[in-house]
Amino acid sequence: MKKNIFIISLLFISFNTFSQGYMGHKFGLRYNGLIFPNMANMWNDNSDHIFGLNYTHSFSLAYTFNKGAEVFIEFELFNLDYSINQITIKKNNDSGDTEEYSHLEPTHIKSKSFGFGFRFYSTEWLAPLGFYNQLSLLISSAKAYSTDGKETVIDETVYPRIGWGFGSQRVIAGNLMIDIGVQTYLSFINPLNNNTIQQRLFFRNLASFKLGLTYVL
Amino acid sequence: MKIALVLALILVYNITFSQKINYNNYEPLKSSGPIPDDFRLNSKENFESHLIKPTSKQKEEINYKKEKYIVSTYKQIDDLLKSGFVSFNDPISNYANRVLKTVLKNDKELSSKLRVYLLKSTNVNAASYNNGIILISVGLISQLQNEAQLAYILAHESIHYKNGHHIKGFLNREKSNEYKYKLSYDDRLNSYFSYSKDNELEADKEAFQKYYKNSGYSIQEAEKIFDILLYSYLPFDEIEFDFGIFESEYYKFPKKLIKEETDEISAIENYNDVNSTHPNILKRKKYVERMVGDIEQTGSKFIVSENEFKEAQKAARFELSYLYRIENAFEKAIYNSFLLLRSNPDNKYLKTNIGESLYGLNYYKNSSSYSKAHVRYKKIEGLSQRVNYFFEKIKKSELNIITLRYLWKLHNQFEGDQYINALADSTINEVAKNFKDDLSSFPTKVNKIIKDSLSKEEYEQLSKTDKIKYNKRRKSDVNYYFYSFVGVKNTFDLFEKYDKEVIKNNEEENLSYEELAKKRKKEGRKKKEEIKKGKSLGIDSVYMISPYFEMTKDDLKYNDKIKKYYKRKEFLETTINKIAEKINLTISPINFNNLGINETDKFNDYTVIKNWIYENYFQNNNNFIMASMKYLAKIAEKSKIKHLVWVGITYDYETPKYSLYVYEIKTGKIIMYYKNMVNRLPKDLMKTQIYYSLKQIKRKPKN
Repeated sequence: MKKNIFIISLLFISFNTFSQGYMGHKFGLRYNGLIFPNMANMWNDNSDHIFGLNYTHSFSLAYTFNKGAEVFIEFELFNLDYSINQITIKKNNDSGDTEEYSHLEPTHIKSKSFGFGFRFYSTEWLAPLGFYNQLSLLISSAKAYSTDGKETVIDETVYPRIGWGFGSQRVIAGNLMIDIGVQTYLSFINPLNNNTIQQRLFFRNLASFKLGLTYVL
Repeated sequence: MKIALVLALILVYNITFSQKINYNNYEPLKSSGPIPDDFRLNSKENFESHLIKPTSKQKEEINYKKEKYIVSTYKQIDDLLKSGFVSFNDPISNYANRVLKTVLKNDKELSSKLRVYLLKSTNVNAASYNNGIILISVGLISQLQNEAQLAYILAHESIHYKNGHHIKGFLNREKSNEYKYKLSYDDRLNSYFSYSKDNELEADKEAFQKYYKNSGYSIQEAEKIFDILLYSYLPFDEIEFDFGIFESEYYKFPKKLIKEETDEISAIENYNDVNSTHPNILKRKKYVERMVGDIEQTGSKFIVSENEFKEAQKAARFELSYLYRIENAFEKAIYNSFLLLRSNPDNKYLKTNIGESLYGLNYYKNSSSYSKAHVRYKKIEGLSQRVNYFFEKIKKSELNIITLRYLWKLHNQFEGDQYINALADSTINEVAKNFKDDLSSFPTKVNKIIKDSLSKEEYEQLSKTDKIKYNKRRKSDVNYYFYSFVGVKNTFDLFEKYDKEVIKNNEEENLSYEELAKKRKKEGRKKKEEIKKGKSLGIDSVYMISPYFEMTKDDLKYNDKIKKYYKRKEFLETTINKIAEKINLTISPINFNNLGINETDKFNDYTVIKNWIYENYFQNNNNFIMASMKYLAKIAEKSKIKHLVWVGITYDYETPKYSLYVYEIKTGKIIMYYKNMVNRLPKDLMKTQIYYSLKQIKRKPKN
């Protein structure tokens, strides 16, 4: 681990000599709010949530390393409060036998992701300004909680996902920039089984609009 | 006693005039004395204060369009005055100011409001502006025959100012726009031109009757001026060009290069002037003729001073050679210098001018863009047509030889002149690259037998070796330029330099495929790296030409757009200064507005730099040695700042482009070029472009 950090630091130092950045500010702190339609409920009988919107909070530390590109590390959080999951519960009946009851139950998913990515800016512009394409790789960990009374972990998934996005970043005042775009993620989990946490997560990540602020340091 | 004193003063003045200009080492005319406000101040208020007052009727209309009127006129004059091509207090404009005072002696109020400056242009032109400035061009002074003619022209321009023709013209133009939907474009244009022509005739008439007639100048000269205008597109004299200046006993040009008969001069007096702002020359001539009518021939051709006029004319004609050269009009420069050489034989400046013009023609011929330097002979009339014909028919190898021979002779004659040496060296390099024959095999000495054809007896008396040489020469089919270097001094040095250049050029050819591939790869990598990372020049302080912001036609349409344009321009200027401060890059702006009243030396230096930038615009080639270089090198010597930055926003097919050039002043070469083209020019992008480009100048190289 130490070795990796050392190599990455060396890379940063070598990049630093020719980096661009907005007026020479190479580091940037970014917050992005990802807004997406609640597609996870499309196959659900409960029609209440079909047109719902969900939000993801993403925090990044970006570093512009030449006039057309930046590298960033990203931490992302989201909660999925009203996702419905099929729960199987074992209960003893009156005769003392164990029976399995299966029913749909409100489930609460908490997800944390961590990863890195690159942004490539249009050649007309200079990073971190202008139109860009973004590639990223995230490792996500999602826990599903039962919401009846106690928060009990009922499922846990760790999966990787790769993202592609595009958008535009422009200065609004001083060192503050606005970032608008579209973000998509392809999660490496099986989305085919209905009403599973995996399916929820897959569609949850698939496509979102993003609106964010970047402050260059 | 008083008269004697005045005469003595005039004598002293004349002596100082003639001493001021060293024609042998002629330098472009310089300004002197305190800098007038017109050149220094930039505020619109200053401009407004100089404007003539409009009539009350005009006032209402002007008020409505005031901003547009002021900005459109102000920018035009301001750009011109600060272009580096207008000088003040130089011998010519000083003299012209005195002539102006003489011709307006009866209207001192008017004469006190007017001032004459010299416009360094080859065009034959004079113009007055609504703030009292009159510009007379170098081309005009070089063509005039006497002081009286200059006086009439100045009187004519004074009337334009006095009668407010500018405001009238502006209002008329604006009015025609109001009829945009009622009248056709042609109708509006015709009305505009006819209005302008009326103004011209009014100026002709009033100049003659109010001022010129009573000034004491020869009345007849007012008519003659129109003949001068008619032939003003021709050189200042009509003399057959003598190609002997390039030839020698053993080196004569073949007949096919010399045009036997030149085309007739076709100047037409009565041309169609419908689409012209001025009436045709015949109309104006007749108009003045009628006014002259029966007035007896009185007055003299010179009142201020005949000597001064001749000196002014001579200076203007010398200046023309330089101006033609920097405009790439090399053939005109050669002919002009040739005309002047007749009365100034052995003049170093004129000979160098011919040499550098040959250099220019040769350079463009070798780089296959001859049309940038050469004008087709069919477009030229009169005896100077021969020069163009000669350079049209000449082949690349022939031109290489003429240029090299002429410059090498100059190099021998003016030993130690760095500029001539540089021209000669550059030409040797050009010839080594482009000349197909082996130059070093050219003979530098000949026996008599080469010259004459021998009789039998004479032949028999020759030695064996001479006989062989004689026969060989008679049989061989050598080019006429084979003996071009016979009689030229120091050819040993020349051929040695030439051989070195040839070896240098062949170095690459002798490389193996592997070595060449390696070399190319290395070059390619370096280039890629440079594009990716940008430059690192490590420069701490630079001169900067005041940022250029192109004004589109659209910008001039409405007041709002004009205001926006100025805001954008101001933003560009302030951002550059702010960013330069942030990255510790010291910028010394080449901006006349920052000059103190007595900083005329700086003004002249700035003028040289601006001239050089102008010349650079024509050349577009980094290795070309420019005429203004020799003057620029002097500035580089005395100044601590060694680099110059040009920055600006231009439009390529309506797409804005931000560009920045960094020049090394000493060599005049571009050492960095940055450009970026975008669909729009938002502020943040402009900021970041400026930062990125300036940072590359400041950034220190790694090793």
